[in-house]
Formats: sequence, structure tokens, C-alpha cells
Amino acid sequence: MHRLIAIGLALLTLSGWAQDVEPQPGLALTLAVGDARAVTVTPNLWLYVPEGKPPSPQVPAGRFTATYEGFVNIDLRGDYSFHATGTGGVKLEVNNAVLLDLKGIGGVAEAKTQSVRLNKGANPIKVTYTSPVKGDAQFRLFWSERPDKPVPHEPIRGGQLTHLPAAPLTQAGLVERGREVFLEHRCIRCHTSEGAGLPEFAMSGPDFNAIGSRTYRSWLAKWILDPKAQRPGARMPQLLHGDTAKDDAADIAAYLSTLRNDPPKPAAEYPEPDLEAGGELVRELNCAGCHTLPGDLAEEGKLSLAHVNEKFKMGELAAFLREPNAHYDWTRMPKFKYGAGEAWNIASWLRNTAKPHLEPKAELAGAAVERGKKLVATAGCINCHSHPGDNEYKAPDLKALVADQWTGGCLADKADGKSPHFGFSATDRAALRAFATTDRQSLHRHDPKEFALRQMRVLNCNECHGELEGFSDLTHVGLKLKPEWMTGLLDGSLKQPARPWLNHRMPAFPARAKELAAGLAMAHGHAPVTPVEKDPVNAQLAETGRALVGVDGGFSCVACHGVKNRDPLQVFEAQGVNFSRVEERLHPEYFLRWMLDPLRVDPQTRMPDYFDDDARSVLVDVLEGDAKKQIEAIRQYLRQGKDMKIPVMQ
Amino acid sequence: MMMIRNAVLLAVILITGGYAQEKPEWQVKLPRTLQADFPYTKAAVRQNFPKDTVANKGLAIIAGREAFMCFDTDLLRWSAGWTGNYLTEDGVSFRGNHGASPRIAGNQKFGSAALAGWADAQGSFADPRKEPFGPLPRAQAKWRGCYVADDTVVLSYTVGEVQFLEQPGSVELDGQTAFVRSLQHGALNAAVATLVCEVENAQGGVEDGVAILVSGDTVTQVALVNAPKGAALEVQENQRIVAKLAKGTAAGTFQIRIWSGSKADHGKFAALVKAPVKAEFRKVGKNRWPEPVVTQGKMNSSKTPDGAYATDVITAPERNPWNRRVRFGGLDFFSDGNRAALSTWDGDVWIVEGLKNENFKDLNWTRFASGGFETLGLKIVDDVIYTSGRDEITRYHDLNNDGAADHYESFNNDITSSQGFHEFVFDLHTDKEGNFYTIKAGPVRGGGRGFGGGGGNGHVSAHAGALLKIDKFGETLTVVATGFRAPNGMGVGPDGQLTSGDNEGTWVPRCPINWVKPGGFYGVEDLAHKKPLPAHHKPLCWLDKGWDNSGGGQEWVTSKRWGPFHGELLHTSYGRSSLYLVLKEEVAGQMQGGVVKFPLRFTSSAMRPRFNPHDGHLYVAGLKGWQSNAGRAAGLDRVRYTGEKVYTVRGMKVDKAGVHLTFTQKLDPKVAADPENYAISRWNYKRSNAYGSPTFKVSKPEERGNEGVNVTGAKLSADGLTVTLAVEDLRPCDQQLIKFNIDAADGTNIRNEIMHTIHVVK
Repeated sequence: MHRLIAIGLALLTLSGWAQDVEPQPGLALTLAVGDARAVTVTPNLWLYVPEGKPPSPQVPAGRFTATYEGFVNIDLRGDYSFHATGTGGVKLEVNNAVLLDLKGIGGVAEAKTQSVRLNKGANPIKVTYTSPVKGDAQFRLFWSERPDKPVPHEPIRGGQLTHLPAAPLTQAGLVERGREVFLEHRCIRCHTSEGAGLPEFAMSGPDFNAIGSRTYRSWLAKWILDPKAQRPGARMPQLLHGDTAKDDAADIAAYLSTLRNDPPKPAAEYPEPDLEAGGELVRELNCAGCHTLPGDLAEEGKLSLAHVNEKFKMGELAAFLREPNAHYDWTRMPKFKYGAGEAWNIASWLRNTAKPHLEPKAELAGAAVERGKKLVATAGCINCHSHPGDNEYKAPDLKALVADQWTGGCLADKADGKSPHFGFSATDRAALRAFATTDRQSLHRHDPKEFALRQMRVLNCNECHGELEGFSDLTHVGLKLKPEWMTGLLDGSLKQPARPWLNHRMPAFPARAKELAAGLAMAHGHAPVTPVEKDPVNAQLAETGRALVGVDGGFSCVACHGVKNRDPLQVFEAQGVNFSRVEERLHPEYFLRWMLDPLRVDPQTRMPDYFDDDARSVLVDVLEGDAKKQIEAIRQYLRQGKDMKIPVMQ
Repeated sequence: MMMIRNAVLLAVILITGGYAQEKPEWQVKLPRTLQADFPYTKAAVRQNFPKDTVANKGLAIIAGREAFMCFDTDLLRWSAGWTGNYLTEDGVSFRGNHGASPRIAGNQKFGSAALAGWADAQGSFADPRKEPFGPLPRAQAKWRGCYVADDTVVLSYTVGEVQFLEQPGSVELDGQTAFVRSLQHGALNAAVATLVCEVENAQGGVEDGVAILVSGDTVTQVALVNAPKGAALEVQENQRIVAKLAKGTAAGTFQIRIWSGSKADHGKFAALVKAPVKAEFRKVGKNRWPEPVVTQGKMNSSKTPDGAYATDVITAPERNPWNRRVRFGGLDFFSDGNRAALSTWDGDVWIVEGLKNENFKDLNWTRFASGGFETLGLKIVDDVIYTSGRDEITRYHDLNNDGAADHYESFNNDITSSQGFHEFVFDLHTDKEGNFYTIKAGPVRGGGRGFGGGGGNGHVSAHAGALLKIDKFGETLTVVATGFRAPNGMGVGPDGQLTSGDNEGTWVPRCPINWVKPGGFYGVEDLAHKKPLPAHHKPLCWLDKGWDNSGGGQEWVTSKRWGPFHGELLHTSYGRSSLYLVLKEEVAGQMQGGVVKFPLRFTSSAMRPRFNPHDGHLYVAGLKGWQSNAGRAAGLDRVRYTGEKVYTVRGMKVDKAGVHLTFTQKLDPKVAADPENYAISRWNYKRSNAYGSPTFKVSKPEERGNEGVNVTGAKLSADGLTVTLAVEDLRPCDQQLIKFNIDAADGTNIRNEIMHTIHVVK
């Protein structure tokens, strides 16, 4: 019944709706800048757009409106209130009633609705946000499922926002995918005339420096001849065609195999590996999240490791594991911090499990090498692979490639015998063509939040996060973590992780770290740089906070949380993060929500809650038993970071 | 207070022959977790030699100014004597650490391996037990308890049929300390022998009545004082000194004096043997805690939304003249209804008087006993206090009626206990026949996963993770059920029905409420004590983390003055400091059901719920000692029925027609019959040796997560009290959450949640 009403309403608001459609996750978002409009699907009602930057790659920079449309779904009839923060104007309509209509959210930067009754099931919601005339655009809409209680508003959970797919959205999704395929396949490395300012334009392929010292020649020949035959998801095209292709590939491989370390690496001594430990690490680090392991069945979208012996020379797999970005900044392979011998043990386990390989002895004929060298310069290799020497390969200018031409050449169904052949799927070809019909100005517009969400997909973050036990769900990660901390986590510069006791460890993605962190912050309505808190630490409150985290008269937080160099007293299963690491990590508003009711933030957490729904503390004698005041006292204590004094720990 | 101090000092002067009158160094340095003004501390006491030896049920006794002796009440042996400092404060009930228990903190002078303290009929000291835990066979020797009289403790045990009293002490002369065992015994109709000490890698023998063992520069000497005829010392196997008493020895007293030191000082032993050391074997002493601690209660600290139940705080004596930590582990009431007794994790028994006082004004707290071994359960039978500790059930007697216990009688010490820090013995109940019940945790490893493995993690001994029954005379202890992990509380119904909670962890995917049947196995495979592994007895229900992450005890509503719930079962959560009404039904021989919460706030955790027969209200005691959202270290609250109308669910049944919820008030027919006002979600768990469990979809058992279930209809019964929810795809599941937001017929909003388990849909 409600679904029917919902569809009826959708008909009024979104043209081109399709019948019998199932609601999809997220809200439909229309961005309008002047006459330019773009639609997309967004997981939440939050954004941050710096002044002068475009709110999305699909529209230019400028004052914009963002219109969110869809449904908020609840499982039980109840009273709710909504809470908007940020800058600019907001109009909120729920069940066709206007709950908020503010020209400017204003200096206090927040506005709260009265309590409103929502129905079980889907409630139509429409939010129109207008960016401010001046300054950065910032917007966040939260809600409360307990409007009668003095507890902070919360994010609407991911699954609770839905929209009905409509033709314009489907088309927009196709264009977005086309743009992604375009960027991920490095099209811009050859068709160079358009685009600037996107991190993807800097993204190359692996360099050829000393490639012959790392990789077996026979493997290179096979790979060059037909990358997709070796790796179905390969992004490198097949460049060689016709009767000579095999010889060409062999010659290029011959030439590449002459590119050696100069001077050669000293002969290494290889210690006896601990294969069991290596296998255990492969499991702990969840290599299988992105790879199929030697001996396992192929799985779509996963890179098989069956070939490690064919590809890597002795010692080179371990070297690659240690420094996956040594020759390829933009590799998707993350960089783990390995302890002594760990990379060697993993590499040895993989080698031991994979099919053995005996590199055939083959003469290096000077003529072949020369021919290979020439081919590298002419076949297009060095458009993507950095290598000294002239590049004699030319591709048509992108500007010249009008949309209806995006059917042949690289995009032909079958290899045409001369163009690089990517072997795109029919869907990807359609997506690329859809993208081609746009003005392609999106190639000039970098939107960190769009970049971050796209890269998280490309990097398979969700293969571990939200999937495996002990990995945090990333849905609201930008609400929780400060971007500076995320940058350190992602670029590998953190000296120690927040939870050093965990078996699994967060690897680094150095090249992408900064933009990922900034984008995640902005996608959750936070500035890419955390504003400095103006007020100094309130020493008196901090002292109260210190008492509150201690054992005698406090919450005994130190039972599970360490403080600086002091270990927690009695951890059962779930150690907490050391108190000296909290301030640098957490946004204050997240900290308040978390402290008030950790299970509402993470239903699986083992952190107890000490406060009731009325924001009353179990410690009734401290700060009037007011939960928020006590939490603020603890925050003031934690703000001291490494300067904090040790609380009572027994 | 002054009087006690003087008495202690006087005693010190007597014992030490008038040496230093200042506080000894060990006492000055003693942390709050150990007490100097009581003659002993019970713990699993680690000694320095023989290596890796532990008195699993150690009585670490202050035997002099700077002299200490540890008695092992399982083996009835003196495990160690030492000088210098007392004990380290290692241990979960002391400084809070997981793993290691207290170690002797001074210079060990003598010690013994884990051998019997009294030889068997063949004269052998070999450990005769099936496993190295629990007491000696009774026919050989049996621990009977002790008497505390001022600064002395007199141990009581029987050897064969003969009653022994033993008072440890010491004598200090010329910088040397001799340990003194004063024994009083009945007439011996058979020869007996006691283990005195052991020295490794030694040589020696008996010379002029003095047993000597020499190892390197260390000399150990033992002499008997006032020995009866036929008594003799013997050195066995160049490593063990034993004292033998002959058959036919008349009742009497004598002493064994033990000294150890360097060769240069060996001549000083003669004077130590000659020095008079008096032992009076006193069984009563003065109350060392005569003055009460007065606290003021607080009424209406929280209320349920309908106003029908309110909590009142019986303020605990957390600030007290002895700086004792107060962490309640047991609660029961005296017959006068004005007094309750509470045991603490730290081994004290407190009595609160004034429960009849208006608004709990001027509550008088007095200390009644101390020195218990983590006494986390207490029961009063005929106005006599019993506690359950890791070592025994203790029965307390105030022989001179001065308000403090003198005789700490070992009612039953058959329970096994190893060194494991997690071997809590929780709760104490009786059934209508008078049998006692208590429940012992498994030796969980530090960090929470797995069991035993030795050291501070302990061993899986016979009673690990078992619910135990002790008959009303304390003669026999039997295992009722097995497989519990950390059940901080249990319940015994008016008809004898046993229940328990447990704590999420290895083999326990979530906290259960167990409906315990004799012989049943409740989940932890390492603690099944049976092969082949028995089938898991499914709990009445599981409770998700937010509801209970560490179960407390249960209580049946025996009061008719506590609202509409007479005869129902209540459950407490230690971890979530919450009180629940248990909704239950039996279907095809299987109990199932769930809980609905009393939204009340407790001062500390909620773990020992008890009805006070005098006022008919529920009292809930709790402590905060490990992970919990509890506020204070100790709490005692009354949950009082105010007489207002109660608006909640009182019953639940699940069958093919759907879920039937019965309410305490008539419902608004329109609101109650609208399925939109109900929401149901459900999920499953996997019981495994991992810690807890993720959630899995019921319809796709391998897929992680929860799933919503459609409520397709809601029908109100003719009497307006019961709603039947028609539920799409209703089927057994480990966990189902029902949320509702409805109104009573009088318009009062009832918004609440039920967490339950469906085993059978019939």
C-alpha cells in the first residue's frame, strides 16, 4: 500500500519513471549549477564542497542546489525529528509536509525540526539544499529516533534511504561508469587532448626500469601477446595483432629482459622460509579478498596468483610484496608493513603452492632485442610505461573523436587488427559510448568525494571492511575519523596503528592517500582539513575526565583501554584504543554519539554504554550525573594526547 | 579503632619479645588491595620453591612481625614460610590483572611441594588425588575451617578421626626467625605423621632431636618442643623433614619449630627453640570492627516509564575506616527483615541494618567477617550466614555474640580449584530441601579465548564450568550440570528449577538464560567433562549483546506484593546492569522464550537479585570488577513496586498461528490490531570455539547479517490483553527482536522490545 503511494509520489517528482521498479539503496540527487544539471545516486544526505570547486564532476563550479529525493524507511511507526547543520539554505519535506525551510542555516549552523510521526515502511523525503553565496558549502542532515530524549541526532542508516530508479538516473549511472572505465583504462594516456586536474591523469602503468631483473622473459612474452589471456581483468590492451604478433611479443620481451639492474643487485642469500607462517599470513591479511590463491578456482574480478612462479624471478615476489609501488605508484596492490621475514614467508608459501616453473633457456639474439626496442617505441607501450626514448606511437586526438565514432578502434567488438584491443564488455562499451555523448567536461573536474567513493570500489576496500570480523564498517568512516589521521593511515606514515594487537593490519595506498582521506571527509560533510579547536584544554574538566576514566570512582575505562605507555588492566577479547590516540583520530561529535551509546553506532561492539536514553550517567555524583557533561570532561582529558596524566589504574 | 591497634601492637610485642614497636616495613608498603589488620588472606599463593608450586587454596597467614606462613587447605600442608614482605598484589581480585595470582613477596625460608600435609595410613605423603586439585580423601585428613581471635588464627582439621587445632606463629631473636607450628590434638589411636618441609639437593639427618638439611650454604633445622612420648622427627630421602606421633599418644599440645638460614647462623637455632612461644588456641576474639559505617539511602533514583517500579539506593559503605574495597558478590536477608548480609569479592561479609527505616535513613553497616576467597555468593539459612568462595562453602559463627564472626567453619571444601584467575565460584542458593547450589566458571585464559593451559590461566579441573550441589549437611558435593563458561549467577525456583546465565565467549555465541536440567551440558565443549561430547542443551533464550553481554543471577517472584508478576522469573545482566522479566513457555519438552526489560538504573551492576520477605520488594546487589557498564564498584538497590498500573508485556507464546503477546493492561483495539505498529527482525548464531559469534540470516544461514520479517496481521483477543501477530515465514531462530509501539485502552503509550529465541514452532 505504502509502496504504491510512494511510487505515485515518485511519478510527480521524477519524470521518466519505470513501472514495477524495486527501490534501490541511496537517494536520487539532482545537482544544479545555473542551467547545468546532473543526477546521481548518493548514499547519504551529507556534503562538503569548497568554494570555487564543483559539487560533482558532472556540473561546473558555482553556487548550486542539491535536491535529494527518495524515501526514508523505518520498521516501526514512530516519532522522529531531523537536524540540519552546515552553511547555506535547506528545505526539508517528509511525507509531503515541509518540516524545515530556511534560507540560511545561519551562523549557529544548525536547525532542528519538531517531532514528526513517520509511518512504518517508506516515507517520501525531499531535501533541497542551496549552497551559500560565499564560502564553502557544508551540509549534513541527521535524525533522531528518540526526539523526546536529550540525545544527539544520528546519521540515518545506509539501508534506510532508498529511491526508485528512473531513466535519467540509469543514464547518469551509465555515464559515470563510462567515465570510470575511461579513467581506469588510462585512455587519456593516448588520447591526450582533453582533461586536466584529475589524479587519474597522473596514473601511469608500471615502469620498465630493471623489469628484466624482476620478471621472466617467457612470462613477459605471453603477457604482451595477450594480457587478458593471463588475467581476464587486465587493463592493458592487446597491442599486437596478426601473424607477426607472436614474434613481436617475443622480441619486445627479449628487449625488456635486457633492462637490468645497473649495477646488478648483489647476490642474495635466501633464508629457509617458514611456510606455515607464510600461509597463516596469507589468511590473516586476507589476500583472497582480491586474489584467487594458487590451486583455487578462478573467480571473476579476482587476480589469480597461480602464475607467480612464471612471472617473478627468485626473490622478486618478496621484493614486490615489500614495495609494491616501487615501480608503479598507482598500483592497486596495497603496501603492508611486514615484520622481519614475513614477506619472504608469504612469497615462499605462494611459490610453494603455485605450479612450479622452469624458465626455458633461450638465446638473446641481438636482432630480436633491437626489433623489440623499436616496437616498444612504436606500439604504444611507453604511453603508459615510463621508459626513456622517443615515443613514436600516435593515437587520435580525443577532441576529434566524436561520440558516434566510439564504436570502432579500441572499442570495436573484436580486435580490428591495428588498434589496441581492450576487450571491453558490452556493458562497458555502452557505458563508454554514453560517456562520449557528454561534453566530457567532467574530465576537467576533480571532486575528491566522488574520487574517494570510486577508488574505494576500485581498491576493493569492502572485501575486508564490513565483510570480515574485526574490520570496521566504512559506511560512516568519514563521520568518525579525522582526515589527517586517515591520510596517515592510508599513506603508511603512521608509526603505530590504533589497534596494534589485531592480527590483520591496514595496508597503505600511498599514492591515493591524500585524496582518499579528503574525499571521505567531504563525502560525510566534513572539511578536508579539520578546523583547529580554538579553546585550549579546560584543565579543570580534564581533571574530572581523568577521574572518570579511572578505576576508583570512575568508569574503569582503563580496564580495556591503555593510557600512553600503560597497558589496560584486564582485557577480555576486545581491547580499546589507547587514550593518547583518541584526540588525533575522532571527530568530537562522533565521540559524543559513540560514548553515549556505542551499540547504536556499532551493534557488534563490546564497548559498554554507561549512559541511559535520558543522557543520565550511572555516576550520579559527578557533574550532576549529566552524561554529556561527563563525556565532554573525558574529551577534554583525551584532548591532551601525549600530555595526559595517568588516571587511577587500580 | 585505637583498641584494635593496641591489641595488635600488644600481640606483636608478645610474639616478638618486645622488639620494634613501629609498623613493620611490609605493612607500611601494603597496597589497599591487601589488608594487614586481619590475620590471613586467601588466594592461590605462588611460592618461590619448590619451583612452580602453588597453594591453590592458600591461607597466607601473618604469623609474626615479619613472618608469614601459607597453609594449603586442600593438602593440609604448609606450602611456605617466609620473612620480609607479605604478598604481591597480583591477581584479578587484587590489582585486577588477568593471569598471575599473588606470590610470596619476602624471603622464603621453608616450603613443600604439592604433597599431603599428613601421611596416609601407610605413612606416604604422596598426593593421593585423582587430579592435583581439590581436598585430600577425608579418611586421610580433612579441613574443618578456622577460628580468628584477634591477631591469631587457629586452624582446625581432622587426621583420620582425630581432631587437630593448629596455631601458626613465629619467634624472632638475634635477627633470626623461627616459624612455630603449635598443635593441639586428641588421643591418637594410630600413628600419624606430618610433613614439615622439603629442601632440594640437600643432605642431612637427625641429630640430638634436631632435623637438619643442608643445601649449599643454607641450613634448615627443625625441632619439636614439648614433644609427647614417641614423637620423633625424621629426614626422608635427604629432602623431606617429617614429624611423627606414635599410636597411643594421649591428647595434648606440642610445637614444631622451623628455621632456615646460612651456615654461619645455624647455632642460633638453639636459642630460638628455647624461647617461650605461647599458643592459646583461642576460638573467640574481640570484634575488630565494632563501629558501624552509617550511610543514607536515596529514594526513587529511577522509575519505569509507567511509574510502577522505582529503585531506591541502599548506599554502600564504600568509604570505611579500614579503606576496604566494597564489591558485592552475594546478598541475603535475615529473618527480622531489617538486616541483610552481603559478601564481597574481596572476601568480606558486611551486614546492613535499617532496611525497615523510613526512606533508608541511617543505614548501619558493620563488618562481620573477612578473609574469604573471592566470596561471590551468600545465603542465610536459619539466620546463619554461608558464603561460596573459590575454596569452599564457609559457615560463619559469632561464638561470643559480639557482632563479628569468630569461627569460619568449612562447610564443604570438596570443590576443585587450580590457579586460574578466572575460576570464579558464583552465587549461592538453597532449594526447599535445604540443599545448596553454586556455579563455577571455567578457567578462561587471559584475553578471553580458550581454557586452561597452566600458570595463571589454571587448569580444567573436575568442577570447572559446572553447576554444583552440596547437601544440606555439607557432606557431599555433586556435579549437576556442565559446560558453563562464566555464569555470574544462577537461580533456584520454588519448585527447585535451576537456571543460570552465562557470558559470551568461546563456545558461547551470546549470553543465554539456561533452563538447567540435571546431567545437562550447556555449551562449552572444553568443560563438558564427558566423552563422547553430550548434546548441547539449548538455552531458554539467547540475548543479544545490547541486552546482556555477561549474565547475572535469576530470581523467581515469590512475593505477591510486587505487582502482577508473582510466580514469574527475573533475570539480571551483570554486563548491562539491567533487570529483565523472562517470558517463557514449554513446547514439546523444550523451554523457549525471551525477555522484556524493566528500564531502571542501578547503582552498580545487577547480578544478585533477591526478594526481601519482609517488604516483598526485590533487592539487587552488584559489583563492578571486570567489563560492565556498571557505575560504582558496589551497589545495592531496591526495586520497589509503587502500586501504579503496570504497562508491559507479561507473557509470550509462539505457535503456527504466530506470536502471542499478553499485556498487563487492556490495549487500544485499533492501535493494537494495526500490524504497522510492530516490527520483527531475526538472526542466527554459530556456536564455535571463536569468541562469541557474528550474526547470520535465518533464511540464508551462510550469509552474515540480520533480516526483517513481515508482520502480516495483528489480532487482539476478546479480553483485550493478548495480541496475536501473524508473521511471514515464522520459524525457529536463535534470536528474534520484536519491537512494538502501541497504546493501552486508556491511551497510555506502550513502546518496548522483546528479545527472544524460537526453538520450536508447533
